[in-house]
Amino acid sequence: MLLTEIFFSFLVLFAVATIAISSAIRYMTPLGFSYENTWILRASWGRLLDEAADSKVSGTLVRLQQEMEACNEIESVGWATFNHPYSTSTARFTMDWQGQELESDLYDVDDNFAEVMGIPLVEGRWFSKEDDASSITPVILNGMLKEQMFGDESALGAVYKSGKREYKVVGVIDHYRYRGEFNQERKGFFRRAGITDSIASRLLDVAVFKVRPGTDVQFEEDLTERLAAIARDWNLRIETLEDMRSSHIKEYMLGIGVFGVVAGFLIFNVALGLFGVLWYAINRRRREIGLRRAVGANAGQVSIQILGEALVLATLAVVAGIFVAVQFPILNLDSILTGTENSVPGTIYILGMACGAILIYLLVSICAFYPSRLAAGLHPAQALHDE
Amino acid sequence: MIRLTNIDKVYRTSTIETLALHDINMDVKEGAFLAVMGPSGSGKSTLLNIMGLLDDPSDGDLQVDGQSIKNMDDKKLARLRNRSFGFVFQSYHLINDLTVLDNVELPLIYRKISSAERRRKALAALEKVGLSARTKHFPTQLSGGQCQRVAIARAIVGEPDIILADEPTGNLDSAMSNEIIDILINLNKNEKTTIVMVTHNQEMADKTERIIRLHDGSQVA
Ligand SMILES: Nc1ncnc2c1ncn2[C@@H]1O[C@H](COP(=O)(O)OP(=O)(O)OP(=O)(O)O)[C@@H](O)[C@H]1O
Ligand SMILES: [Mg+2]
Repeated sequence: MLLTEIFFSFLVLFAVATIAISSAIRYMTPLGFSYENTWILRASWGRLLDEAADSKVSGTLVRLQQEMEACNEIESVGWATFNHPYSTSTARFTMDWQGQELESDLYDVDDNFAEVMGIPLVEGRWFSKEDDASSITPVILNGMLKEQMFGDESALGAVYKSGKREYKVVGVIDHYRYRGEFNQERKGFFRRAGITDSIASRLLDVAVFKVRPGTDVQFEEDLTERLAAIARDWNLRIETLEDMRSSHIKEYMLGIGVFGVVAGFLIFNVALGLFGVLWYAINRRRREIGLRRAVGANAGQVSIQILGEALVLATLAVVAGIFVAVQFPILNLDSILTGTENSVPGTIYILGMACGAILIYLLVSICAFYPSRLAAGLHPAQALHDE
Repeated sequence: MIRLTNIDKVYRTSTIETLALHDINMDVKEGAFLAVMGPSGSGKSTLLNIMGLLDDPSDGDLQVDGQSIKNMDDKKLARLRNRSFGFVFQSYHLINDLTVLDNVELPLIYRKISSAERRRKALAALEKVGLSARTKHFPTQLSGGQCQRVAIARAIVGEPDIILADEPTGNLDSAMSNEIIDILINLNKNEKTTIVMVTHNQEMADKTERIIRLHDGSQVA
């Protein structure tokens, strides 16, 4: 009974520790872009399907860009689509790669995107006007996708076909964890697009732009008004990436907090139960404890015995718990645990288990401490007296 | 060996105060065999518990081998209980989860000796009480007389200077009682173990060297 409670507590603590550790590690790994002084404009214009409307949309987008570039406060403007930085949306792309399907994230962006977002290149170059000449679509891979496709070999200049289109790798970056600090890196690549491309123009509806440090909310209002004058019946929203980032972090922390509170409540209940059971056990064993005192056990030896018995119980539960916990990576349940599809590295699991075990021992020790003191304080004559 | 000087024992509960012992003065000499008698509630058990360091006197002084226990800390008291005293209780106080052998070994667990040595001593003690054939049994599988013999084996396993027995035959029939008394008498004679035994049985008491009589917490003889 108590054993199962400690066992489940171990699993909960293991889960909490694993999530906490992997969250902390993710928070500390590079994002791959900078969010400071970067704002984002989301434009939506309803669905217009014919050719004429298409070029009208392109025209408006160009004028929006010109208006923004004309502002002193704005340093540079780039374009992306719905899976912009700190968005929760994803665009998935399945390519044919050496006879197999290879799935990855797809980011449609324009030539200025990397400059605005401060994405450093590992090798090659970013998209530019020189790509206009070619009919092959230029792409830039992130580290994970490059590793998967090319291993240690160079990816630069590689041309491959997927579906009807041909692609050429012009650059490689390290990371681009656009979904934010607490999200796992995934395979992904940038694909060149532009607001004047006839078909793609419908996709690039999100502008990212760098503002001068110290630019305030007043400018945000002014800009919204000025842009609204250009795109009359459009819906325009401006936000700062810093705000989006803090709400991402807040949301994640809230999730962790709720989970933590539930787990804490559970552990608290187990601790209370453990304390009660140990207390009860000591009262039931008063006679035995009294006898041990009578035959020469000192107070310290009695309390060590009680503590030791509790720790033996904890060890049994932890061993059973570890047995179950190691099944998580095997069954790939870890993705459920951490909410990502990529597996958490084994070392984090081991760390999580170690933390869980340490916390259980701590918990059991704390719960056993007072009862063990109580047992040690029993007066031998008194303890032997009552039946 | 044990000297009690002006010993008082008062039990206080929230409602009543019982004077269980009053102004007890006595000397237990090495090698003695004493019987403590008196009506129920006269303080016999209390006296034995105080002698055996299981209970503190409320007043007065207790000396063991010339040393006052007043200034002893818990560790010292535990060591003294372990080395110098062996207890035998009316209700045996065996641990039911442990085998006969483990019960007998119990006092030795609190000494620094090897488990082989513990085993050897426990088997020797069981031999002395005639229970060598029951070492793997559990207390619940034994008769009352056998249980008390296990308890005596436990009391003597550590070769104590003194055995304190609180109505060791209280729960036994007369045949069994005689066996137990004979074991104690032999211990006293052959091993020179000092014995203080509480008993209600005049016949048993007559087999000892000296009888101490208590009445309402005071020594009357
Ligand atoms: N733990 C205790 N708390 C309060 N009073 C106690 C306690 N133990 C003993 N007493 C009281 O002290 C007195 C002496 O008790 P004690 O057990 O020493 O008597 P006894 O001579 O051994 O009696 P019996 O022959 O029935 O065993 C009794 O009045 C008893 O009620
Ligand atoms: Mg009594």
